[in-house]
Parts: sequence; structure tokens; C-alpha cells
Amino acid sequence: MNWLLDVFSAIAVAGGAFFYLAGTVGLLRFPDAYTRLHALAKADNLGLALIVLGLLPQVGSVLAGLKLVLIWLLVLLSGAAVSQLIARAARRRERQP
Amino acid sequence: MSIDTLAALGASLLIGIGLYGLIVLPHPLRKIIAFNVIGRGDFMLFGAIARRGAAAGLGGDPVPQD
Amino acid sequence: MTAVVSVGIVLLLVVLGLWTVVARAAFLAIAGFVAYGLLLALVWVRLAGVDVALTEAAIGGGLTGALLIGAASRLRGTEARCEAERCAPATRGLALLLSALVSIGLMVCVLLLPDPPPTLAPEVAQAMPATAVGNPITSVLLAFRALDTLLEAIVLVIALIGVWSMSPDKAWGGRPGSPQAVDPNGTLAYFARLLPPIGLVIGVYVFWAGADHPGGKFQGATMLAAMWMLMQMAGLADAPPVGHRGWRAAIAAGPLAFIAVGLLGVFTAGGFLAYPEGWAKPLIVVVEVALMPTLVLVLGLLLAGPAAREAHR
Repeated sequence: MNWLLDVFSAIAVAGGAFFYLAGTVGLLRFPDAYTRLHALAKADNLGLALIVLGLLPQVGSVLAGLKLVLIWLLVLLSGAAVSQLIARAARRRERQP
Repeated sequence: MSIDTLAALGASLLIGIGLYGLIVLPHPLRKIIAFNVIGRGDFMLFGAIARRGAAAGLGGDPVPQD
Repeated sequence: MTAVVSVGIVLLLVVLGLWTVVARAAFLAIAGFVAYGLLLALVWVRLAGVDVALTEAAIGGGLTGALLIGAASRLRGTEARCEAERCAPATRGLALLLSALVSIGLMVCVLLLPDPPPTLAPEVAQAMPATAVGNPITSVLLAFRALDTLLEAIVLVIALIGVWSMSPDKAWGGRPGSPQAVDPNGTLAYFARLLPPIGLVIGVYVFWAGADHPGGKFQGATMLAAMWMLMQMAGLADAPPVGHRGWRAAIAAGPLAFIAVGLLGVFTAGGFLAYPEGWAKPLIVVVEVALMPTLVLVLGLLLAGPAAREAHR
């Protein structure tokens, strides 16, 4: 049973790492601010979610697991707010040549 | 090579890099950033030394960590 | 396997340090510097210094990054002029030589460190039960080396006075920063209404848990100051005026309480900042609770900057 959980953790964390890699490649290769924000959002939402999901079987207590989920939710919140702000600032800068 | 030796060697490199930046960069803000790089490298060096002092059930000697 | 991760992180740190020095623009260097601070927090966790990792992530990654970005945006026009002052190749060569010598000297010292390493950990472990505090870092910070902590707090207040002294004459006593023209229903205002209650709970928890687990007043205070800054940036709160007596009294109260506890120690336990038998834990709590508002105010006001608007008298 334990090794099954370990395999699940390994697969989930590897999936999360893949999304982070994809997000970083997007950050480096996409042409403008909006598409880069889109790539970063993938890393934040899906990548971190998979990593947290993979780590959940490994923590000792329910409270620690809840803390991990709370961290994911906070990163989601701040990522969403900051993406909006950066996109609006980029839009404003476009309008004033 | 253990983490503390590794961290200490890395910290020595970073202090040298920061020193180079402090001397060579013309803009004062960049100099301040390079100075902060030296500072963080110093702290890392202290941390590596503290880790070597792990004894009596503590993860590292707490006095240098402060 | 973990050795590969350690080597990777340290290598990445050195590359980031190089990046902050060779980057072409100040904003790029600051981005590299913030990433450097966060990676450094990871290294601290590997070095078994979780308290320092928390402080590094909060202050190095957050506070210093915000301060530097503010400074860089104010200094945007001066970068072109500074390019004209670039160093001659001879100076660069000498600087390279000096840096290489310093690095190699430090590396030699590191490799020649005494083995087994001298350590104060056994003494700390022995003396800790007298302070009734579970976290060894807190016991060192507030009991064995309390004088260092007092002086740190005073240095922060002096730094704040230094920042305030850069206000222009006609704005002296006024509020820092320009008034924010922010959409009250916009994203930033929404974010600033949602996050501070959560940040408040987490900050106070980190402060209170510092007695027995990694944490403490500095990390907690940084989080509370960051929430305050968020509210100021969103226009939900305004920076306090620099000349206001009440705010100044609140800032001075922390170090004064600390000094008062120290003087109490002179009369009851035989030395400045000595704690009498059995009174260590309550006195430590008093000092921490007194210092916390001071730290929050000082860190927040350091970010807000020197006074910029005229005082209304």
C-alpha cells in the first residue's frame, strides 16, 4: 500500500514539474506579455496543484495536508491578481506610444 | 561533498562575484545590489559553519544562525 | 541523489549572483536578486536553519525586492548617464584579480576548517530548559544574546529616521508617497480586501509559534507589514504622517520596553538583560509582544519611504 502511494506521489510531482518546465519555456519563448502571463498561469495553477496533490500522501497529518492546500490556494489568488494587474499595465502602456 | 562544504564554497564564490560587481558597476543602485549579494553570501557562509556545529540533537549550532 | 539537488541549487545560486552583476538593466538585476533570495531560502532549509529561511524568504525575497523596485523606478532616468562612467579595462582587471583572491582565500579557509567543529550547541541545549522556550533559535535571540536583538531593533529605528531625513523640507511631517488613484472596485482593491485577513492570521501565528517552532516576531512582523503595504498600495489605507506623535510613540515603545526589561534585570538578576529565575518565559513574551508593533510599523514605513506630501497643520 505504501509503495502505491509513493508511486502516485512520484508521478504527480513529475507531472507538476513538467508543467513548470512548460511554463518556463513559454516565459522564454512567447512573443509578448499577455502570452507569457498565460504560460505562467499554467505553471501556477496546474503545476503547483499536481505537486501538492503528489505531496499530500506523504505528510503525516491532515492539518499539514490542509496547510499545503491553503498554500496552493494562496498562490492561485496572488497569481491571478498579479496577472490581471500586469496585463492591464501592459495594455495601458500599449495605448500610450 | 556535504551540503555545508558545498554551501560554504558557493558562498565564497558569491562574495567574490559581489565584490567585483561592487567595484566595477557604475550605477549606485547596482552597487547596492552587489553589496547585498555579498551580504547574503556572508550569511550563507555563517549558515554553513553553523550546520557543521550540529550536536546535542540540534540541527545546527544556533548561535551563528542568529 | 540529494547531493545532485544540493549541487544543482548552489550552482544555480552562483549563476544568479553572476546574473545580478552582469545584467544590462537595473530591473533585470533586481529580478535576478529576488530569485537569488528565494533560492537562498531553500539552501537555508537544507542547512537546517528554518527560521533563517523564513526570514530570508520574507525579507530578502519580499521586502528588499519591493524596496529595490521602488528605487529603480525612481532612478530610471539616471541609468543612461551612468553608462558614461564605465570603468577602464585596467580597473576591471584589478577588480577581477581582487575578487578572485578573496574567493580563493575564503575557499581555502573553508576547506581548512577545524574538524571536529567547535560548537556551542551542547551548552545551548543544556541551558535551554531554564528559558522554557522550545525553539533554540528563539532562546538564543531573546535570552542568551538578547542584547543583539535589542541593538537590531534600534538599528531598524535609526534606518527609519535615515529614510525620513530624506524628505524634502516642505514635505517634512507629511505623509509618504503620492495619493493612490486606484479604482475602488478594481483587481488590486479586491485583492487587498481578500488577502490581509488571511495574512494577519498567518503573521500572528508565525509570531506566536516562534516560541517552540521555527518562526518568531521578525517573520511575523514582515508579513503584517506586507499586508499593510498592500492596503496602502490599493488605496484602502493611507500612510501615516511622518510627524505624528502617536505613531512615533508606538515605534519607540518597543525598544523602550526592551530596555526597561533589561534595567529590571540589573536590579533583580545582577546584569543588564538578565532574567530572574522562573521569570524568563513571561519576560520573553513581554519583550516579543512589545517589539512586534514596532517592527511592523518600522518595516511598513521603510517601504513607504520619505514624506512626500505636505503636512496639514
